[in-house]
Amino acid sequence: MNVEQIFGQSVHLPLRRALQRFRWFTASFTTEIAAQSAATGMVYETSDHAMGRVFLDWRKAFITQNPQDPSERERFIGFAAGLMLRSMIRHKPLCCPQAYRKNDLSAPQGFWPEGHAYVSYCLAIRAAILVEEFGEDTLNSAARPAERDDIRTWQSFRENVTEDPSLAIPFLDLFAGETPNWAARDVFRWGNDPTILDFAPNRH
Amino acid sequence: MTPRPPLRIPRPEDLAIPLRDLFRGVQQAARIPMALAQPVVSHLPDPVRDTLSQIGQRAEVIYKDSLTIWRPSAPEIRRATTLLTDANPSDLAATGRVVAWALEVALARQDNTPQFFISETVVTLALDEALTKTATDADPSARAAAVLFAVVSHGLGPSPDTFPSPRMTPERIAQLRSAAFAAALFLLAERSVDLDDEIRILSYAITITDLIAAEIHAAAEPVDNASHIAALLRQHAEMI
Repeated sequence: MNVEQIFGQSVHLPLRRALQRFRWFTASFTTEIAAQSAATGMVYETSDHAMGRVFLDWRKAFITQNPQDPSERERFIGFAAGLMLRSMIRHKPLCCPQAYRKNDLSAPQGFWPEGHAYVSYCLAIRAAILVEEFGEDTLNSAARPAERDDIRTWQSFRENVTEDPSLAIPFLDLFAGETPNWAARDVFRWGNDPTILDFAPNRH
Repeated sequence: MTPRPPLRIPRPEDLAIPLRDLFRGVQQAARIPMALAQPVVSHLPDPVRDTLSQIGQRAEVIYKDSLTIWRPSAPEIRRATTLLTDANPSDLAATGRVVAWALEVALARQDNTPQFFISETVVTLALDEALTKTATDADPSARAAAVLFAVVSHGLGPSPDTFPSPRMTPERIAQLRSAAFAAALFLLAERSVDLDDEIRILSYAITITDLIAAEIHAAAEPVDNASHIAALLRQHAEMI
């Protein structure tokens, strides 16, 4: 996925910088949701006010936790995408009206359309920045994590993030095929040791 | 006895205030839609009634057109933002028109907003005052903050609800302050060459203003904290 596919137009900034601007964040989200609607037939209503809340909430967390050490940048990109998912879970910018929902509850997009859209967007921007910064195409790699399509994982995801939106951060790692840090899930600096796994969410 | 000068119809450029302001003022100070005037008009002779009806309908159309159709072009918006970098912008009235438009859009987005009479003339006077106060300040966000304070202090004119008293209630001051912050934020944001994008940028400025309203009002009450408002404007303009 290239920059124009992300934003629906060319942008004069690197992706990681563009997403810190409300206009480009909104453009990228709108473009991704339109693409998902075209692919699934599900139509979403977007709240501008909630989008503003997502952006301000995410940007504040992003700036607070952004590491100064350039060697941490690659890992922080995944963490920042998780922060974005957390903000979306908190502020709920999307609503898929009942008339447009799929009745197939065994598929993630039918089970939780809004959650599926948030995860797809966050994985898409995470992958696009990794490609731009490091040349790694994680989204289209052959090893697509099984969890991304596993309905039990999605049931656990929905139940857990409803109680604690911070769990969105390790869940996004799981969907991206990375090792989640369930313990220090919302603090980047504590995440240096990905083997900290003393807490795991409830699984169905 | 000195003969009186012949009467003549003034040309638009001779008028002290723009025609759009006249229409706004008349409409908002005396809201009498033609439907309400109809019972009275119906007692008039046919020719007079038809003429009055046509005048009334035409006036309503002109008024609505003056408010709903006009919007600045992207180059006009870009020129207006020179207000923030140039102590002597070439056409302050054109800048006032753009700022009045931004204020109008921002006020229309607020919930339960009482009607404001937004005068381009008063806005332009407010801009002139802001420029005078910041003549030696090169910081665009400080100039934008001065615009905000000048617009709020001028009050933009009376409400039709309180006409002819121009008194501003705390609620109206807060609504106007929010709209003025959104307009100032819009002016500070990075420009686009596309008008649709510019309109979206104004919309983003309004959304962000709404979300940080508590911070904005805290920085302006009980007394204006110009440096704090300027910092809020700078910080959030960079995000748009």
